[in-house]
Amino acid sequence: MDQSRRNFLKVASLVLGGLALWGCRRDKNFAPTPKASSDISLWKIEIKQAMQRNISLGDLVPIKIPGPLLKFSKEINRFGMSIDLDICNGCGECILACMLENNIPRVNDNEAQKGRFMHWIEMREGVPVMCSHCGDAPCEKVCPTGAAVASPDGMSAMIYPRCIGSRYCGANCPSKTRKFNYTDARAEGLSAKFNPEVPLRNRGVMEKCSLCVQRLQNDRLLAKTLGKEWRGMGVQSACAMACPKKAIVFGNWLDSESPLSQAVRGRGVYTLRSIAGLDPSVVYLVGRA
Amino acid sequence: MILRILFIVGLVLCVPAVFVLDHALTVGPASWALDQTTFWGTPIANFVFWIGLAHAGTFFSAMLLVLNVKWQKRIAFPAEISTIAALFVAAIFPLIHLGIPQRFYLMFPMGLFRHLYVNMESPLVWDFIAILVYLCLSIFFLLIHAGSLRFPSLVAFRRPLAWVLFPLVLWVHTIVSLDFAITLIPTWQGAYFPIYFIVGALFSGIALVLILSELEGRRLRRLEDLLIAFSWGLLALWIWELMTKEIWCPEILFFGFLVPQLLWIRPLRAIPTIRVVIAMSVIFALWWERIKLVMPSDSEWTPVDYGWIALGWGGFMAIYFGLRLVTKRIFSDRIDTISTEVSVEPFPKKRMALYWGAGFSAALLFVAWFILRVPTVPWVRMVPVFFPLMALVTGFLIVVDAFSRVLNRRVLFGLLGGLGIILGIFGGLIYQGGKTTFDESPTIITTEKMPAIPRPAEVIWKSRCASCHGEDGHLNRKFVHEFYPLPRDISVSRFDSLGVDSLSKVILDGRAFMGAYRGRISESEAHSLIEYMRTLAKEAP
Repeated sequence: MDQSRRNFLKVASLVLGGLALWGCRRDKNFAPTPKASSDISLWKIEIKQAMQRNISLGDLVPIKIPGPLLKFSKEINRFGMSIDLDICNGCGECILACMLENNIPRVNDNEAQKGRFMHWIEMREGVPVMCSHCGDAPCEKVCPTGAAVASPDGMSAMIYPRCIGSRYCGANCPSKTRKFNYTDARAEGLSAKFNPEVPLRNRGVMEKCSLCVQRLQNDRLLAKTLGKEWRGMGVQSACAMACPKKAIVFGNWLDSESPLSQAVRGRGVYTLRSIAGLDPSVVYLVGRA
Repeated sequence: MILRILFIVGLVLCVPAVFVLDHALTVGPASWALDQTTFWGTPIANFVFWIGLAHAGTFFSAMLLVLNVKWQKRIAFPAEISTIAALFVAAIFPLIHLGIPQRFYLMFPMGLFRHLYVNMESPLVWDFIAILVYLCLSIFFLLIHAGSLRFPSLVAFRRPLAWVLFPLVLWVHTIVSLDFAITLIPTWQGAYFPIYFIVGALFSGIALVLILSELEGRRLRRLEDLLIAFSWGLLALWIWELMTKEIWCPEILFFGFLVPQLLWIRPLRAIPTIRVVIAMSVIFALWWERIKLVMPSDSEWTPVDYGWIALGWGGFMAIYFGLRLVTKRIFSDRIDTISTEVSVEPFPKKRMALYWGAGFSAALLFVAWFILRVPTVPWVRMVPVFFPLMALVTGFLIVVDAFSRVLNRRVLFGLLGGLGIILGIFGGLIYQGGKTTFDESPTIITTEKMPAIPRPAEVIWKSRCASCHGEDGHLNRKFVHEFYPLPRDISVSRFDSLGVDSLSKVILDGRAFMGAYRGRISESEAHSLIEYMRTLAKEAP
């Protein structure tokens, strides 16, 4: 009798303890979801805030003009950009255009305090820095699930549904241009769908500059439907379109008639020292060659 | 008695750990200290630390067994249990670390199933496989050891299995070090990383086993000697690091090197408390070293970062002392004395070669299958997973062989069948996977870009639909063939049977390979599109 009472008390207290723990669990939906706002001035304020940070750029070193990719040597397209630092005055218009084109969310105050903005383009010492779409990208090599993967036309692409958020790519990116969704921007009402062609990203997913892949893809499908050879002529990234001084030029490195190839002609081609050996597709132009 | 108290302490520590775990999973990686440039934080550091502690168990039970060290049997059983407890704890941390923990199964190397493939170039995948195999083999080893108390003939199988575990342990920690050494981060580079990690792991592990053996009331002088030896070994590597990268931490040198030197002093060494304190200081130094290695910047720690300590030690103590109490109750003290004293004939070499050969060919088959399915993978990158897979098959065969000798056929087949069913269920769940599509609530979509006046259906058709469905509605076969299974051809009767509502739902929300167009096409436009498609269907030849 005594023994069974003892056992009963043991079991009962264990069950009660478990239930108490269960009862104390955090309720996810405690705070009401704020209403999503698509007021662009909020985005502008955040960009100003982000541009006040002092992020060092590091050295720029000269490199060769990007040529065909080693991985996809038979491809006729390799997309990229050049940013003319002689013209660029670091106004930040490209950041806003990029955010609106790619539905980039704002971050909450806590994240902003830590300096963790989601902006795909970052001003470092007045120079816009984004993913360089390296031909020999270190991020693609370490991604366990193949979410960071090379596309045959020169992009270092991100496949969001494959990403499990191991952040290995971010740790291995020498230029630190990968952005991680630390918070659920949708739940906090910080994201808006300006562009219906780009999905909103979930919490726990890595993202970065996509070279406006949706624009390229639309143009590619159109050309394919019409049965024409496609070299991406006429497509422009959002930042290139928005640049008031036309410092950013988007184009095809392998097409000698593309605006990119023409803009680079006779110019000094530079990149960040940390990625100089990785065959970047996005380069800086300084002075004459 | 002390074991029971420590078990309860472990359980009590688990209470804050549960809250920390819950908070970390609710808030995600933002809940622990990470700054702009470090994406890896304290969970990874704790993971490396606990994997290191796990190695010591295998060191004492398998490596020293193979090397014929006599005194290992006095500590082998607690060490084996500590391996399993530490491995379970270690496995929690990388899962928490993930941005989306419930998607961890995407790291299973399944070729191109579900159109998702695992990147065999990534050290994380090597890590995942190696640690899973290590956990399995440690459990096998413990099973054989515990089983040998009931069936003494099982002792013959300990040594062959130890030979599998011996290289595996070194392999596992080499791969853990490659997680770092393979990156482009200057402070993580260096060819000495594997040996550095292995020495560090064994050093902290020996300290842990020393504490555990003191708790059992046993003093092993050799353990103390080993602790001194490893402290000098690690000092050499620290000097190497200082010379190549100019990294050094005075506190790590103090707790990790100077404090263990106290063991040279005989009167001090004779006091059990001092020995335990020295071992704790070593464990602390090594833990702090891993933290410093993973996140060199001084970002401010949150309660979650401190909570990992409770999670790690609470989980370890609860599992270790729980298992120890249970095994003591079942086997009393026989487990530590009898096991290896039974004389048995050595394991036949031929059979050993057969099992290794089977493991080798199984691993080879897997590699061949994977490379055939995913031809872009450089085959050299399969080398790191080759040995763990081989070890898994070999170890499994040895265990099945062992238990087939002592267990009834029916029981054995029942156990194997049960294992098969469990693996089948898990495999099926992984194969089925979670949702990989986006479900966005359409309410968030702003309609700013949508034209107020509906565009003519023909224009929308040509701009949006014709690329796949063809301008005449009979599919752009050249294009569609390349990507998708062909949809059904359109016909008036099919339109009428499906109805406008369901068709507009397909246009707006998508179905199978048809993309969702809500936000790009308004509802009235969808209706007009259906009308247009009907006219196209009527024109059909």
